[in-house]
Amino acid sequence: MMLHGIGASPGTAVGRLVLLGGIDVDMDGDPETAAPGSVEDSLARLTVAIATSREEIVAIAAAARDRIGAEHAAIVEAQLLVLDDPEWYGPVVDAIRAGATPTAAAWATSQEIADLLGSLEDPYLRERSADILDVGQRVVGHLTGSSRAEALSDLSGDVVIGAHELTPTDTLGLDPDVVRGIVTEVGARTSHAAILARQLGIPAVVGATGLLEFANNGNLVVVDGDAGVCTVNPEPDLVDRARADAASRAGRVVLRQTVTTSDGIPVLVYANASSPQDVERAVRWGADGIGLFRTEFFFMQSQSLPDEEAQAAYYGAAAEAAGGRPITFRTLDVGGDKPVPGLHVEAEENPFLGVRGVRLTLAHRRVFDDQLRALARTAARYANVSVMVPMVSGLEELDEVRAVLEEVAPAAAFRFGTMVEVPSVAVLAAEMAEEVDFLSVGTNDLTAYLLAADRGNKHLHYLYTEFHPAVLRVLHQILVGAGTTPVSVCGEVAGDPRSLPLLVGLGFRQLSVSGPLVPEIKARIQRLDSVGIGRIAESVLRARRHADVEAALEELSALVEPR
Amino acid sequence: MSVSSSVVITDPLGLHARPAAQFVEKARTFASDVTLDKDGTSANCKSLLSILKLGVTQGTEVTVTASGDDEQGALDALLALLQAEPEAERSP
Repeated sequence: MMLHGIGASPGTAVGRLVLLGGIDVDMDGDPETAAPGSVEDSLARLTVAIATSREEIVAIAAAARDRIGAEHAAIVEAQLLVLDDPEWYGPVVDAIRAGATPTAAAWATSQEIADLLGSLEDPYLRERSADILDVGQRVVGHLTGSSRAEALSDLSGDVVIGAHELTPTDTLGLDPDVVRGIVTEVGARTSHAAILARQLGIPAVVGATGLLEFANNGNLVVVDGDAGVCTVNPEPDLVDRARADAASRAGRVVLRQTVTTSDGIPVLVYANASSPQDVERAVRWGADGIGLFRTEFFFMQSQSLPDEEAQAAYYGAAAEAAGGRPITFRTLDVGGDKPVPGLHVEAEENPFLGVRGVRLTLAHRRVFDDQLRALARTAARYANVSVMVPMVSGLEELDEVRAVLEEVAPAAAFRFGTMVEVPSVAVLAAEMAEEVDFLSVGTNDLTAYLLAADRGNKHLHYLYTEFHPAVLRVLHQILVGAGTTPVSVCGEVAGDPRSLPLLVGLGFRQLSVSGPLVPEIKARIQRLDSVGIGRIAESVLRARRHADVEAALEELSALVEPR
Repeated sequence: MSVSSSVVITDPLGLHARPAAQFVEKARTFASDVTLDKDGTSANCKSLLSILKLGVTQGTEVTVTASGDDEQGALDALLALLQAEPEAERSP
């Protein structure tokens, strides 16, 4: 049985399914449901459950800080405030005094508050709603003895975690040595759990509707995080293929040197990063540099707008971790859908066609000035620093950014480039290339804007594809227009194994992918013959329909990966 | 006895999740009871959930009231947080 969802973290995994109980509660697990205890006993049990939960949250936050960075830990630490919040604790105690079991009291109160916050327009408060359910569930888990934390800590063998939804603390608590894959019924590529899964290198499929209906604990499952498919009780040959794929990725030798195709064409493989820790990990995976450092994560996780000083320290730490390898910082890329503490962004009807990226930073000069100054300071201390601006739609914005730079950091020593994700800039690639040091194609957004399709929309999966003939033709036109100006690809198309020969065949020589994919991509590049794949890429450019592209991809796969 | 003072929220983000967490942590360092009033609705400054539900956006006038042994210190500290200069357009 195949369940189709959204690929949230690339890679293949095979394992026995461990289903986590839903974010719902089994009241029967509470001994008091059958035999109510005294109010004093109930309150004592509640106190113990809260204390245990607090210890766990503190431990999860500490582990997260070590493993993925302080930004992720802060999200969990906020949950501690809820545990002794009078608005949560008070009603729970009142309900127990009125005769409710601790389980019923804690869960009903958590749900009530979560519903209330979840019904508000605000994306921030909706996130808090998930936190409150997370906290409530943890406390209830200790009361009923059905803790998800225990279910997660006692795993062995190769396991695929399945759930309706994974909470942030669930994901942070996963042991990457045991958990091979993740599949959930709901969730988006942008949900916190998905981002963490990518950081941890665990293949994940989200939005796999029907999982809890059709799959059972212990079922063998294959998770294909590239295609976004989870197969329950797969055929033996699929299992063999998936195991081979997973094993070859796991056993991949890290190649620290720059690799070339089999006929000697060098292709640089960079990694995407959002924190200095990401950069460190990317270097360990053998990345040739950082092709995209997303600065917005630092802003989103700070208590208030980070000033020039704080930013300079953070970017400096990232550049330091890169150890002399090229690193490209992207200036703040947020819009109405990505709240940043201290920066008011009006909610817009259509945030993806609204004030985001460079449009937003040019309208908030203080924020932009501080960031550019901090980046200029970083470039003064470290070699090989580049800066690019996102969401540019024409030369005018580049003129404006340059004017700002001239004003606030006239001596800035970084290379200056632009993202190519708005179709207008793809059309003007030649003109843009003449005025910048490099172009960086963001294939996800470019594809979405070209096809007017949101990749997160489950109903448009048939439409959203980087293999659309129009998308491939535009990629080719950007490369041709750019001439001798370097062009890199930093969207996730570079992370899709099927598209690698196509991109290299089209002529791209610099890719930026998620860190854990670097060894795999490097190994594959060494097996590519640029002449053969170039010929097929040419035929792809004549494709009229998606099916023509698929046919060419088949031909490519046969050429580069004879099975 | 109690002390109180009104202030208009200038932070464009309002008293939003992360600023609110800071605000609550600060309030909890005082023994006094502290409330935040907006349009006749009162919130407990020591409860993050209470503050969040109040929905304090930019331009809202709120009143902080502190009552207890360290009321003046609590009032001053919380007002200072609310009035902290948020992001503003830099004059050229």
